[in-house]
Amino acid sequence: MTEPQTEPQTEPKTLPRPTGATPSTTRAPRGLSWKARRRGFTVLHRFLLVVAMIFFVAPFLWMLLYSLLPAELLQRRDPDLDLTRITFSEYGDLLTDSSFLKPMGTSALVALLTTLICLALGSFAAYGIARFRFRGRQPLLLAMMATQAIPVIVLAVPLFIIIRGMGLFDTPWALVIVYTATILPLVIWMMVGFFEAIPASLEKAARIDGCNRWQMLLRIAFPLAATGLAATGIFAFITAWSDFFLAKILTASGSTTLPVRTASFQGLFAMDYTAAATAGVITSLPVLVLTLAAQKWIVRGLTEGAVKG
Amino acid sequence: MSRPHSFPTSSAVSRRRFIGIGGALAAGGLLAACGGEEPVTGGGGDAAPASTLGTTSGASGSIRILDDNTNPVFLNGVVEAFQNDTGITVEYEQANFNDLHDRLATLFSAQDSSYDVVMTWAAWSAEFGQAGWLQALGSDAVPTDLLPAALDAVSWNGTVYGLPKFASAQTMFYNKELFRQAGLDPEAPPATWDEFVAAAKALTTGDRYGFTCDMGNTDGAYQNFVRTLLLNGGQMYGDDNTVTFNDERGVEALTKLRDLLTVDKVMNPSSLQITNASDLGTLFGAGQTGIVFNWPSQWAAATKEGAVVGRENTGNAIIPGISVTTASIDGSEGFAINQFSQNKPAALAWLQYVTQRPVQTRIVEEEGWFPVTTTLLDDAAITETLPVVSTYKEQSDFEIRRYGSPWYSDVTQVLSTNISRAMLEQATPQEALDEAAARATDIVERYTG
Amino acid sequence: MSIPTTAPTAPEGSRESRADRRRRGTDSRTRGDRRFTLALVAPAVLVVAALFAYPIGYAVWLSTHQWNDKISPRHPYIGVRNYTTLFESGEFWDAMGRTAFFSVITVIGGVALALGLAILLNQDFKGRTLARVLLLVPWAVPPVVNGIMWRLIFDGDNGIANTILRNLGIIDENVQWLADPDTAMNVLIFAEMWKLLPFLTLLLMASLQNIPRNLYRAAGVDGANAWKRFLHITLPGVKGALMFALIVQSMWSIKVFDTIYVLTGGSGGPAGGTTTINFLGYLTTFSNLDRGYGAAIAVVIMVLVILTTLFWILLLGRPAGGPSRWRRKPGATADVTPSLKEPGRDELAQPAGVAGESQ
Repeated sequence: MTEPQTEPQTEPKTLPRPTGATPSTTRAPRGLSWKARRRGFTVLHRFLLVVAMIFFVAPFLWMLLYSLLPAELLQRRDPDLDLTRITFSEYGDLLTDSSFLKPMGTSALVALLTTLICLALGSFAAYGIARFRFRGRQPLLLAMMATQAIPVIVLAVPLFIIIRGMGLFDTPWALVIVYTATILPLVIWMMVGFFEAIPASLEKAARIDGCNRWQMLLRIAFPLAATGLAATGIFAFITAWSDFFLAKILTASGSTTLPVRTASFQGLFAMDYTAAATAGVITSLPVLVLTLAAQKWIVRGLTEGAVKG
Repeated sequence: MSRPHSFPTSSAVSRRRFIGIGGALAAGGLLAACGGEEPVTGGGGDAAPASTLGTTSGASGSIRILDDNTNPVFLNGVVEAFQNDTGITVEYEQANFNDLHDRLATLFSAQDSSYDVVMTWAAWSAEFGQAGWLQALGSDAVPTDLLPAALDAVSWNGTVYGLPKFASAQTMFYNKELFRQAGLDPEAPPATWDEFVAAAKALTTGDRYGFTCDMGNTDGAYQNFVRTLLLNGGQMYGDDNTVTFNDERGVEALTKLRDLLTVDKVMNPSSLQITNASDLGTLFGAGQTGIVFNWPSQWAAATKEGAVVGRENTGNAIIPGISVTTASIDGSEGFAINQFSQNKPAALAWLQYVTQRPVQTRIVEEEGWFPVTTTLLDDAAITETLPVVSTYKEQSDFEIRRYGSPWYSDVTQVLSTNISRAMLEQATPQEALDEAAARATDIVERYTG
Repeated sequence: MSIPTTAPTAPEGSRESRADRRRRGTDSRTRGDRRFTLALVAPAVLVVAALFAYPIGYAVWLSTHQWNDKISPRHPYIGVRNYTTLFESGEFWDAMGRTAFFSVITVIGGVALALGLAILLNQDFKGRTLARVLLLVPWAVPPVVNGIMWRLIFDGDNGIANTILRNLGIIDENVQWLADPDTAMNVLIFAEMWKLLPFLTLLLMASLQNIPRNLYRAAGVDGANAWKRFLHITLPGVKGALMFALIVQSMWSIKVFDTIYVLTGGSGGPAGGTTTINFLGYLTTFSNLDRGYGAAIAVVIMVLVILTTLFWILLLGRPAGGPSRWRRKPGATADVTPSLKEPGRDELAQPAGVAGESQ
């Protein structure tokens, strides 16, 4: 993946971000001072913000707590949140258990390869679609969207037959291929927007300077779409990393992925809540770290491309 | 063939199936499946006598096994021992029980031969067997002393599609300490439904319910109803698979089950969302409920280190009947051979190996399941390590069923939806069961018609 | 373009670039361009087509056959009988009703809430970056984990939801959330909302940042109140993103599966209360092994998703993802102006029109 050429971070302070509810531009209504009204807005704003953040974070924190505290403290009517009894033993158990580590490795490999392939194939295709008006361009884009209409249950058996025919059943490659096929259309969809956002005049200039088409693509277009690539890449990674159903059908113990392994803590005769919560946290963590690390790219990437108004 | 006399009473197995098996045996010993190829034992001398180890004559090569994750013993030595004893190389894999059905269905639909041996139980033996995906076994491949319920779990319609790996049925577990607190005699567990309701009432206090069950998902709702139906002397199906669960016995059974929740108020309302036996076991082990009807693994859950209840306070007895003495629901599991397997003799060797004493002893002693043969069930040494076994012996003199059939999952869905409606008082038991029966009749007709 | 990015674009330049693009359309007829385009597009299209064409064709073919592996080894062609059976089945319409309920709330409610959140987060405040970071947490949680998490929370006996509500005095007795079809559906919606809101919010927030600030200033000067500004500046400004959000979320909502599977122990219960159309298709195909009938359900889902997508496109015009992708009349920027009738219209309309054209 290309190093995104970001300039020194200018956000968030310097960014203009007005919205329909911006209090600062509100005119004072009759009977209420401008200051009081603005203050009211601010209080309401902060209150809603805090509520929203609690809503988004608390459930995950609760699962985190579940993974750290002994089950008998939590498996009761009124849970006992005795933080002195926090233990990382379940993490120790899982992270030394090869039947858990192996799926972790598989998931990482599969998600990474899928992301790279999707970005490579997807960005070329998206560039072609964005830059050239060829016959069948619109139907092609519609077809890409239409692939997302297909429920995965209908893909399972035919895909299994294809994968087995290729001799890839129960290998990470099976999942890489299937995920690439299912995620690629969305990647193309998003990337088309990024490339269309790049003014063609730049490329024209480059062409005059003697760049051929490929050089133009690799030296001008890709670097300019770097944040978009990053955002799309993370989207692809998360989608591949999180899949449950296809992994469940297309793999056996040889290449089980982390979500399948995590779901298996909920068994017929065994539901180990602490282990399930721990596995849940571990499964979420890489994606979480990646997402958080790249959050600026994600927001900017989306801003520049896919969602232009 | 001595199989018929190994059924303790004819009531333990439905007449239909009893005759089916006996008839087929009499007809020539080989049980060809619908759509099945030649039975395993048809060719070569690969079916060694069930009583000895080393069923290796003719069986060699390697096999791949797909099991659920119920039995750690296979990974902890049994697979290794099998390889040493037979020279057959084994690739043994475990998958979560809940994921297994979908994966097997996909494998079979694609006529895949990746796995030679797959785990099965009552529902799947019938379903996959009827579809022609499991290899039918010849009578000489089947040990003669198998428990009827365990054999039932690997058979359908007179054809044996596999061999059991352990037997399992629900029995009653009760908390002796809570019995004492409620002024009940901990050594005299309830023996009839009315006594059970009375005991559960006495055990219900401000912050605890006397009885809890697991009706939170399809199988759960189904098995709680079927158990109550059997306790009331009812049957799911009559002759020719006519649907009979909505007769007056069925309606009375469902009414009694619902009344536990809505009239007697002794059933923990969370019973309707508990989706597995383990949660039930945890609840009981933590002393949060007085009585459960649960699988043998409950014993281990309640007596393991750190459990509140403990060994001395865990009481175990047969489930109190309504109009019969007792009855229970079967949960036995087994192994079957993939119809598309390339190495059936070796696969059969594994199936037989698991039913033999050394493996069975480990499953009973280390994991708390019941052995699959009457010989082992009668073994005093085994009963001693696991007191639940003696209850099972008692229980197994009466009806233990699951009604595995090709339409099991279809009917189970329909039935459990309507049972939930009745439990939630969105329909009367009569309405709910009539609705379910009408739908079930259509379903069965599609399969048999 | 109102935020500094590596792409040196300016609102004024964008009209030229559009024109450029149209001119380029002529260029692409040169052989070199055509070959180049083919080289770019073909690999991806081939990969997708290879892995979709066969399964889709297979599904359609399967849906015209009686194919139940448990009933018969024969698989006769039965025309549209699977479909007629389906449309006569109460089960199907129940599932459709549940799907409609679930989708309307998660799509309309989800996008509306996400827009509110995006506006909330788009203000100036301390800790804005932190808030945005926290917002990403649910997005990063895989659906399987999401299901496990909410099961822990909504457990009838030991769930924290009951503990909190009891202590707040909202409920007296524990509620068995997953035991009743209605509450189970609500829990499912709640869990899905938690998961889907961040992505939608991010999308809309990104779009909000593209609305030039001076539009609001101008509107403020003209005395437009908050609601009017929202209606005439914010909404048109995020229209493309809204469209994308509505389409993508509709697809995901109609096809919801993983969370139901984990939340209900694979049953779609209680009493079938969370069996949406996709879950019914799953149960039919995998539990009942009725693959012909299951394929018919899958085809119906496909049609349903495509119709929903078309519905949004017809209702709202072109989606985001690139100007003119679905524009019916080239050049018709249906973005902002038509609905403006207020004073200050001229001041608003001009820059807004430009904004609609800009990146």
